[in-house]
Amino acid sequence: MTTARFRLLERLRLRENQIFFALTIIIGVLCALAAVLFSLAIEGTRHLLFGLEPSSLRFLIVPTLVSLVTGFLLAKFFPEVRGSGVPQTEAAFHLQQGAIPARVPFGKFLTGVLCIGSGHSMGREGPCVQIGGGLASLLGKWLRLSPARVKDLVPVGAAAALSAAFNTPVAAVLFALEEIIGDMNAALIGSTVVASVTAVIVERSILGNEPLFHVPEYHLVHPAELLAYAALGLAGGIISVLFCKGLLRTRAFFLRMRASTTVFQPAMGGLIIGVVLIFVPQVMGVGYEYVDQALNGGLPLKLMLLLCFVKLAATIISYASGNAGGIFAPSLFLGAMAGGAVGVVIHRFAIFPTGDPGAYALVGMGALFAGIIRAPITSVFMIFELTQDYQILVPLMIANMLSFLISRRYQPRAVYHALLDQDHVHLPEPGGRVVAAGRLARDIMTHNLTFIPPGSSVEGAWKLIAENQSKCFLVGSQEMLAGLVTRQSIKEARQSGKASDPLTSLLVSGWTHVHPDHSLELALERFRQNPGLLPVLSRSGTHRVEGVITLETIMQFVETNREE
Amino acid sequence: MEPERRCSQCGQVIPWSQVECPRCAERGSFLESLPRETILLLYIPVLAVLFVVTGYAAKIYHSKQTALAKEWYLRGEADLEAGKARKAIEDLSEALVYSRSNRLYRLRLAQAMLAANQVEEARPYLLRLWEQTPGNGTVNLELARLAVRRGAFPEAVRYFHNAIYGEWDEAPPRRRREARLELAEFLLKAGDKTAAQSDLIAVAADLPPDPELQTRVGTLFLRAEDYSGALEIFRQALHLDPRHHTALRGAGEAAFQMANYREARRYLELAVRLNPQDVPAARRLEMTKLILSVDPLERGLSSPERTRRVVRAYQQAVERLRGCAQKRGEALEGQQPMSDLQTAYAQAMQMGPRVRETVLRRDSDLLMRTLELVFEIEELTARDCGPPADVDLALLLIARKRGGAE
Repeated sequence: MTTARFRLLERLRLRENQIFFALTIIIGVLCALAAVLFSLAIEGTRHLLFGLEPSSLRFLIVPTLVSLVTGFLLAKFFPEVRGSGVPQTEAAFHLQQGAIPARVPFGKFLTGVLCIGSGHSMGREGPCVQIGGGLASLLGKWLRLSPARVKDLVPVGAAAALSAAFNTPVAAVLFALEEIIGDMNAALIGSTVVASVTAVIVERSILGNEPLFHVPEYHLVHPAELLAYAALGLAGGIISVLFCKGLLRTRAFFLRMRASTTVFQPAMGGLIIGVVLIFVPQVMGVGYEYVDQALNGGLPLKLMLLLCFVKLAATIISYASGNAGGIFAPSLFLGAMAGGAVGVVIHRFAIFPTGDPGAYALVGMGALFAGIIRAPITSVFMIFELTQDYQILVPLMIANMLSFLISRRYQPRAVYHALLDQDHVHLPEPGGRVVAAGRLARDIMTHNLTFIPPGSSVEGAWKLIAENQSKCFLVGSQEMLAGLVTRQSIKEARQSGKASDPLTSLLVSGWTHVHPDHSLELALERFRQNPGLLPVLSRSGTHRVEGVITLETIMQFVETNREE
Repeated sequence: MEPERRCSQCGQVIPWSQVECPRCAERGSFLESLPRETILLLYIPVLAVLFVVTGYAAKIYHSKQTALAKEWYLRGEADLEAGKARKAIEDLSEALVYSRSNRLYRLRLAQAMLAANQVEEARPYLLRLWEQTPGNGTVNLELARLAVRRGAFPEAVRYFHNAIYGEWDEAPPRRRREARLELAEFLLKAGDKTAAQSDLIAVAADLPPDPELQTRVGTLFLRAEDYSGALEIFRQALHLDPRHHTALRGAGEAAFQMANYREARRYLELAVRLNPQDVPAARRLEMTKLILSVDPLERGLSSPERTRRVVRAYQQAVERLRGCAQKRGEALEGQQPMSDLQTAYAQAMQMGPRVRETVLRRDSDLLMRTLELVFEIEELTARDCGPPADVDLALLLIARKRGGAE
């Protein structure tokens, strides 16, 4: 009897694949609910804080004071949830086996609602991606799935949340594949589709079938209009570069400020945004209502131009000052305004018949998205999904591709990756994300590390390395590498009477490094550029040393392989 | 450098490479004691509760949105009523922020834009509404007005017809009639009187007993030069309100144009009596009386009176002919080839000695030839020397009336 019951129970046990599939659906539902609640909470907070007709004083005070609170929360409790959330999710997927702490989705929800609801010019899609990825990771962990499976759940959750937040299930799947995973042929496509579709069903069952935008019927009125769309692509590319460079430089400026100011930086941004809102309240929050108006040709040319540039500046300030919110929606906002403005100008002055400015606003959204987010395929399908009209594909692809190429030419590093670089996190390039079949840097590095403390004098350092015959040494600690120094430079400094000088004055300039997943070929190439020592640094913290490659380790590797 | 992370439960430093505290992770949790299938099942009621909570929150949110949208809409309506179109645009845009699918708000916003002369901005809104509801009368009417502003004639007529045969939420017959009247006015402005007449006939066939409306339609008939239609409508209006000044004046004008001078005099006298300040009506009455006093073809005239009028008309015509020639610097007694004026003058001079009351009374054939010569001279001089005045104008109108009758 007991054996029979045991067998029955064993039959009822689900295999890992089955659990994963069931969890995919659950994640779809949960992420949709989270995304809907997030949107509702943002709107509710906005009404609560600003009311119907806010005064200038209220515009000034609300973002400043609320940013003080969020600044404290972000600095003390949720340091991982500043900014968009997309780069952090990518880092979690590629570098942390998809492990995301439980506080991340909840912290993102809270701080995102406060930041966007208090008027910061930021989007809700990026935070939704992080919330979705975090919840998926959490559910997988609670179910004791293998780390590889937990990792797979992150893009699934991200796609589901984005699908519910933006109401475009196909674009959400593509975004997860193109941006998060970095591989359009990923095996996870089935799971992301299931979660994305589930999420959109749940979202529509709660919020109804109303589309996010009321998109006008699209017509390519004259073949010469394709030239106009090409011009729009050029404009989109230039604005994308301006935005990316402006964002990165402003953020670098805030990052250079003293660590003690970190708590107050969001409030500094809040104060600036407050001043901006007094004069141009349309840039507040997500701003999709104005995108809708631009799509329907309801905004005059001057206002669209004004909103384009003020929104650009406001988003840069909000993001760079360390608030929680994304750049997904602002990029669409900028695209709609730039496209609408180009459309009006072309409509008025073109010698050939043209479509309505709303059509240009629509294509502009795709162009700016392709230029800023650097997900050109997602951008094409996103706009296609909004219009459900094949006619838009050719103009859209022309404008997107031009915008993408210009943006990549003048801002080679994609903005999400560049933001991670600023946080000392190096994501692998999309082409290298599929694990190389050949040897990697981690295969030839050694963990036997010798560090010279960075506070040492030249004489002190000489005493430490006297017994060591290496040509080059690490300065710093395993967690904080300061640089490299050569035996020769220490020796020469001693002989020229600079024995008491600080060692840091002798650091090698222009040294290179590799990450553990870099190929052996790249490691050897970079080794040649360094004076006999190549540090292998962690991707998730580029000051942390995971190992070193020296001539000895290379020789040892060659010997080992010869024996094999 | 990243900030140091410490476990909130045990206080141990968490390495950056690890997500959670390694010590606490080892201890295990409640969930780890449960089978995975049970945990999966536990997720379901949690999701159900979350679904209900989110649905409730969405419901509250939607009702709040609807209330806000209505508030902004009412503000916009008040601004539109007060003629503050730009403020109305702001308010109605806000209403649309909270209720983006509301077609009424969208329509009113487009109307506010039109009122503020933001034609280019209003058009996409209306086209979008038209795509959604191609049979909506109001939308078609606004698109027609927009086409009128843009000077797109065929487009305007098409939208007007869509509006006339379209769906209306309130008082469809009245709104359709109004649309048709607007179309007629547009056609009249565009100079297409024939098309306007057909629309006015359609309106007249179904007019309610409303003197104001009937007078408006009658006036349009007058502009379309359908005088019998106009007179008919004005008569209907006067039947309901015999002291309706505009209807009286319109009826007088219609009768005058139809050369029913006696009827015209009756209506115009009443109109002038009701409003002595109505100078055009008074002038028209004066002319009507003049025509009636000089018309030799007037019914019921005695033979002496008729011949006297013919003689006077002849003298007047010869004077007019001389004045016209002088104005043109043309000698009436010229050489071959003769101009029309010279030919007419020669005929008049040839006929002159016989144009006397005693002769004409006996010779009715001569009377008619004299009258024909008078009419010919009045037509000729009107052509060569511009419109006449006073008696000459009266004679010209009588000539034309006769020409029309023939």
